[in-house]
Amino acid sequence: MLFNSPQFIFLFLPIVFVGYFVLNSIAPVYISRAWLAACSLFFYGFWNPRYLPLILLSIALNFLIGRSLILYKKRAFLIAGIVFNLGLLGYYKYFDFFLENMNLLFSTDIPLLNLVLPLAISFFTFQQISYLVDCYRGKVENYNLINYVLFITFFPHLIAGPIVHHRIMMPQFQSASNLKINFENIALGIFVFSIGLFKKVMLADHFSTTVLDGMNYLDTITFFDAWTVTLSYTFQLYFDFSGYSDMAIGLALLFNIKLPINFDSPYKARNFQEMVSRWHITLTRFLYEYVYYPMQRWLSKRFFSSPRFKLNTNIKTSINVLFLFLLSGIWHGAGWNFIIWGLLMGIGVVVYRMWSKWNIKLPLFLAWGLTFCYANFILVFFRASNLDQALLLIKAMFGLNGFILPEQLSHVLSPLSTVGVHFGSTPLKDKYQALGLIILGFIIILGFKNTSETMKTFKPTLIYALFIAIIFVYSILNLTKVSEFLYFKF
Amino acid sequence: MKLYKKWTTITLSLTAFALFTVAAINYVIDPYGIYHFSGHSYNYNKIIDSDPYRSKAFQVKKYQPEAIVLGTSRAMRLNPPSIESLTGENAYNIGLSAATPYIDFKYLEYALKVDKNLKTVYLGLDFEVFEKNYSTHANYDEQRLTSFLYTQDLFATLLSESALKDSRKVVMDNLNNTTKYTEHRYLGDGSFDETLVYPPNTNESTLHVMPTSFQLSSDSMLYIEKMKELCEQNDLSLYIYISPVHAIILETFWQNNLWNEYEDWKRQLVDIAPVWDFSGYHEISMSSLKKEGNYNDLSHFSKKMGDLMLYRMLNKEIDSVPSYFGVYITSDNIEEHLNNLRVNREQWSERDKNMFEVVASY
Repeated sequence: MLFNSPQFIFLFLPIVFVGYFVLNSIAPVYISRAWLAACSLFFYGFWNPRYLPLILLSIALNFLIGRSLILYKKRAFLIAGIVFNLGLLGYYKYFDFFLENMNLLFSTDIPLLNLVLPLAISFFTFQQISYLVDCYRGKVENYNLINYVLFITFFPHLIAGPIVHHRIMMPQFQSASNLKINFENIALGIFVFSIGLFKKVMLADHFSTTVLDGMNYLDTITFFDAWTVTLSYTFQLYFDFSGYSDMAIGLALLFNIKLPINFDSPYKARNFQEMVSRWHITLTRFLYEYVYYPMQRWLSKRFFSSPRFKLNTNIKTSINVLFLFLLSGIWHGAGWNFIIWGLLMGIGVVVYRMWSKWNIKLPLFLAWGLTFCYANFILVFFRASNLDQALLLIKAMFGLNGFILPEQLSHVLSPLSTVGVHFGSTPLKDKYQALGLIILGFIIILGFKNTSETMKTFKPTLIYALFIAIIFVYSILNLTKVSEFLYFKF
Repeated sequence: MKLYKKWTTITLSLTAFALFTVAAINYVIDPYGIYHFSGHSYNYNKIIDSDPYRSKAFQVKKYQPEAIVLGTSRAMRLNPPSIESLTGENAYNIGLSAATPYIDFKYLEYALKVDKNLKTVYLGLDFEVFEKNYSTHANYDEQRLTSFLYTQDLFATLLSESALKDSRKVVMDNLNNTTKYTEHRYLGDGSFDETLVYPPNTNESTLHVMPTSFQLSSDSMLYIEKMKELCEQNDLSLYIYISPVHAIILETFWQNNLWNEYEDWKRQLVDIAPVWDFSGYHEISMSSLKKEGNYNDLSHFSKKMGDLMLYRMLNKEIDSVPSYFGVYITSDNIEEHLNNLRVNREQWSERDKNMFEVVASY
C-alpha cells in the first residue's frame, strides 16, 4: 500500500489509528501492539502477499538469534545471523547480477532467476543486522517478540525507511506515556505528513513526467534537453524521497513515535561531504556505525599495520571512504551504474577532503554550484537503467549531441547561433513547464526551511491550519495518478 | 494541549469540508456519466473521451440487467430497448471499444459477480480483435473488475482536480449549447448514440487501421470457450454472433491475403459453439454507407441492423429480416457457408478495386 493512495489515507490509516488508541484504552498493551504489528503486515502484504512469509521468517530467525546472542554472546551466532541476512539480500537482490556478469565473463549461458525483489528487504535487512551486532555487543535489552516485530514492521518506516535503530524505537514502543492520544504529536504529524504528500504528489510526480519523457529520446537528446532532464531527476529524487520520509515521520507521530530525520537540505550543501551527510542520513549513519568504523579498525589492525602497506592516514581514510560509498552504491541496486554512482560519491568526498587541506576558500555561490552540479552529474548513473543509457545522457550533457534551443527563442537569443547553438524543435515535451518547475525547485530548496526546521517552529495557528488544509486538499485532489516512490525499488 | 486539539479539529474540518464540496459538485454534475445519466440541461452532454471501461462497470452494477451485450464498439449497436421489447428482459450494453475476448471474459465474470439478475448474454465477435498481438485497450483495468477494495474510480471521479475541471467544462458546454469539450456518445443503456456526428475522414482512418497481417490468438479462442462454459455453469442463455461488417472491410481482409485466416477463425469458432454469422457479401453489407442507414460509418453497423440481428437470433418478427441475413453456422455447415461467401464475393462489382478510392464515394 502506498502512503499517497486514497485507500491508505481514507481507509487504512483511520482504521489503524482508531483501533490502536481504542485498544490502548480497553485492553492490555500487548494487544494494541499486536494490532499495530498485524496492520503493518497487512500494509506490507497488500500489494503482494507472496513475500509475507519471507519477512516473517526473517523476523523470527533474527529474534531467536538475537535472544541467543544476549544469552550466550557467541561470535558464531552473530556470524550465522549476518550470513543469513546478507544471504537473503544477496539472493534476491544480487544473484541475477552476479549470474549476468559470470555469463559475460566466461561466455556461459546460465539462465537468470528473474526474481522479484521483496519489498523493503534492503531496509529490514540492515535494521536487523544492526540489532544482532548490538545484541552481541551487549547493548540490547531483552525485548519481547511483539515489540521486536513492531520495531521491524511498523508501517511508517517499513517500506523505505528512515532506517531506524532499535535504541531509538524500542524505548518508545515500551513507554507507557506513548499509549495515550497526544494532540501535539497529532497536529505535528498532520503538518509533516501533508508537506510530504505535497512534495510527492505536486512536485516529484510532475518532475517525473519530464524525466520519463526525456529517457525515451536518449539516442538523440541534445545539450539543453539533457540538462532539463537531469535537473528534473535531481529534484524528483529529492522531493520523492524526502516527501516519503516526511510522510513516514508524520505518520509515526500520530502514534507518538518519533522517527529520525532523513534529509537536512542536502541541496543547500556547499561541499560534497556536507551534501552526503545531509542526504539519506539514516543510511549514512548506519554505514558509518556498522561498516565504516569496524572496517577501519579491521584494516588498521590486519592490513595497514603491515610494513609493506604503511600508508599515511589521509590515504587510509580515503580508501575507507571510497569503500564505504561503494557499499552504499551496491546497497542501492544491483548494477554497474549503481557501483559507479557509489564510487563517484566516494570520489566527491575524497576530493573535497583533499581540497579542504589546501585551505582555499571558494566564493559561496561557486562552492554551492560546483557541489550541486557534481551531484546532478553523478545522479545520471543513479537514474539510468544501465551504463549505456548513462553514457548517452552524459555525452549530451557535454554538448556532444549539439545545442538546440526552441525556435521561439531565436528572436531573442539569435546571437547564440554564432557559437554553435541551433534553433529548432526537439522531442522533449512541455519544455517551458519543465523549466518553470526546475526554477520552482531551486526556489524551494534554497529559499525555504526544510521540514525538520519547520517542525521546530510549528505553532498551532489559523494560518498554519489554512496552509495545511489547502496543500492537503490540493494533494488529495491530485492523487488520481498514484505513483510508486523511487526508493521502493531498493 | 487544548490549542493543538483545536488546531487539529479546525484543520481536519476545513479539509473535510473542502473535499465534501468537491465530491458533491462532481457527483451532481457527473462529467463522466457514472452516477446518473440525467437529462438535465447542465450535464446532458458528457466530457469527450469519458471512459466506458469505467462507467459501464459502474452501470452494470447499478442497473442489475437481465441481459447484457458484450463485444467491441460494433456490439454497442445492439439496442437494449429492442432486447427488452422482444424478450421482456431489461438489458444493458457493455460493448467496449476494441475489447478483446479476454476483456469480454473478465467483464462477464464481473457481471456474474455484481449482477444477480443476469440471464442472457449476447456476445458480438469481430475478427480484428482475435489477432495474437492485438493490444489490450489502455483503459482496461483488471483491478477494477477483480479487486475487493477498488476505490480508485470513486476518487478519480469525485475527489480529483481533473474531475472538478471536467465538471466545469461540462456545465459551461451544456449551458452554452456548445460541444467544445463534450459530446453525447453513449446512452444510459450503454448503447451508442447514433446522433453523434463523426469527424470527417472517419471511414478512411478506419481503413488505415485494418490488419495487414494476422495470427489467430489461441488465448482469445480459449476465452470464447471459457465464456461458453461460464454461461453453462450459471444457466445463462448465450447468443454468439459475428458482426455484419461492411463489404469494404471484408474486401481489405481479402486483398491483404487474410482470407484463409478469416475462414480458419470461423472454423475454430464453430468448434466451440454454434455462431450466428451476419457477415458476408450481401445486400446489406454492400449497401451505401451514406444513403441507406445500414451503417453509422465504415466500421459500425447501425442499430437498425442491430434490430434485424436480434429478430434473427431470437426468431421474432422474422418476416422483416432478409433471408440471407444471419446464418446459423455449426461444424456441420461451416464449409458450405464459407464456400457461399467466396461465391457471393464475385457478385460485388467493387471487389479488387482500391478500397480507399471506393470508400470515398460509397
